[in-house]
Amino acid sequence: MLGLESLGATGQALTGVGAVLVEAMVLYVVYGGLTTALSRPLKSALGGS
Amino acid sequence: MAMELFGIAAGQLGLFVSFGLLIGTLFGFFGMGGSFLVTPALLVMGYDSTTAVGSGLAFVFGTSVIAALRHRDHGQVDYKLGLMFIVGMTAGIEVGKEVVYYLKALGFADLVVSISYIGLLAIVGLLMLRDARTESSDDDDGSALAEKFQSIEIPPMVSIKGGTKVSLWVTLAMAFAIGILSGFLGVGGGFLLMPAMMYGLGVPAAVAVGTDVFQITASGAFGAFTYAQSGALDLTIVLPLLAGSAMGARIGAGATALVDEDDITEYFAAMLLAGSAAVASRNLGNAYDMGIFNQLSKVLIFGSALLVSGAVIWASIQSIREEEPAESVHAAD
Repeated sequence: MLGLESLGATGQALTGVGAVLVEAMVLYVVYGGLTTALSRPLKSALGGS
Repeated sequence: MAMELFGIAAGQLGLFVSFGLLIGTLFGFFGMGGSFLVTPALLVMGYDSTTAVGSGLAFVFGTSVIAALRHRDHGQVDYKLGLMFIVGMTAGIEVGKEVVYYLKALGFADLVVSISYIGLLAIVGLLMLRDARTESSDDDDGSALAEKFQSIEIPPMVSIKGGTKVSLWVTLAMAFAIGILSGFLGVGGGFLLMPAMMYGLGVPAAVAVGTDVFQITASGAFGAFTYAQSGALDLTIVLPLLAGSAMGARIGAGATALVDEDDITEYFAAMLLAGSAAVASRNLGNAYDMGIFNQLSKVLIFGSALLVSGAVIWASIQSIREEEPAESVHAAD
């Protein structure tokens, strides 16, 4: 089986940095959508109106 | 046995997501502070210096990817300048990393990295405190410095956005020096690069921000990669931190439209000084085997981040509440 160990140091490093990149792009999309959807109701809730 | 999620203890996961949320809020609001609180926080939590620096750089990479995605449409990136900084900083990061490993082999890495952090946080904190208290004279200092750097005309000269020309070699030397610090301390260098571009090269502020984010994405990726090759990238630290900070950055960025940064700058400077005291306290705790100093260091670093991000959110809520009656009055008119 091709485990991460067999990738060697460079493969593991690429996997680690790649994981951070993928998470960052997913967070950008998900949080962007959440911010757009929630900003108006949150603002009116905080303002009490 | 402690509950685990994705192989990470639930308590640790919650701690990193929450801390990420705090520093993300500060990063989004002040435009810096995303990285240079993470590495000291990991140091006071007892992680070794290479893991703290490597994971700090990976965190910097993640946050700058998100920031770059948000800046890409604004046309505020000078790619030519960014490329020069990438080349200079990449070389500098490699040197900085080698210094850390050399010191580690001698057994001094943790001590030297910690002392450098104490000095750096204290200096940046004191400079910000001075800036917050004195209003306009610094701009004069800044433009005088920019003129001095721009007057060094070692060819080839490169024209940059904003209509100025800079020497390729001066720019590369500046980038190399910042890169060494970045690789040595695991910081993105944004808090050094921004003033270096604005005051050193005379780049307009908006272009400096965009170019800064662009080059930090590249240098952060390279820095994280080189540390990861040595197994110093801990994803159980970076992934939850990033999840929290990405949300915090949106909160902080939203707060900039509501709160005047100058009102909170002094708190931010105080937080940097508290960070400096935290690393010093942790070193005292380790040197004299006194647990109280280690506890104090955690309270200082996490408490001050909580207080300042809390102040940003509190001021934003107050601002929204004050806006509402005013809007109602206008509506009545």
